[in-house]
Amino acid sequence: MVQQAIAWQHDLAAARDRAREERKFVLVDLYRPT
Amino acid sequence: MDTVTYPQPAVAEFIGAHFVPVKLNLSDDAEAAQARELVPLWTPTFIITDGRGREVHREIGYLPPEDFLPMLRLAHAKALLATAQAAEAIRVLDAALAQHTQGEYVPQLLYWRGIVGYQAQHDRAQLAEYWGRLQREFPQSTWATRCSFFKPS
Repeated sequence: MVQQAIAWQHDLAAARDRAREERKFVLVDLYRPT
Repeated sequence: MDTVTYPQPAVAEFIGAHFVPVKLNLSDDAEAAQARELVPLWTPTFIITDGRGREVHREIGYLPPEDFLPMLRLAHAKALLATAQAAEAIRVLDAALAQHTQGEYVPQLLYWRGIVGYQAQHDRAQLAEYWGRLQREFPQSTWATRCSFFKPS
């Protein structure tokens, strides 16, 4: 079985556009590299 | 999160099915500029919004998979409720409560299940069922405290 990877985006506006098109919601992870 | 929580297949699958995931590095000037409108106070911060950017849920701090997945289910239900999809929110919360029987988010799932049922059906019995269960099963929870004014019967 192939493990599904999360397709992270790095453009908030584009993610919102896509969420509206696909009738999904937006999950934002704000982070700092450790 | 990248080494423990996100690699979990159930987490990745749930995110892919219901969310467009965005990672913004606050140490990167361009990505930090995008995040400014979200008012980050600490990292990690997880914010769930609808497609217009309207926030429905926020969490601060690391979450292991056993907490992150029920948090996502809760946030998904709140997002559905916020976008006038209460019946679907009920289905999501019922599935979450069937799957998660213990852990930090179960009391909060019960709290919101009562609210969503009440809002969808204008039926006090929904509050009585789920807030009553919350008060009986998790009396020490802060979520039981938040509905402690409510008498189920």
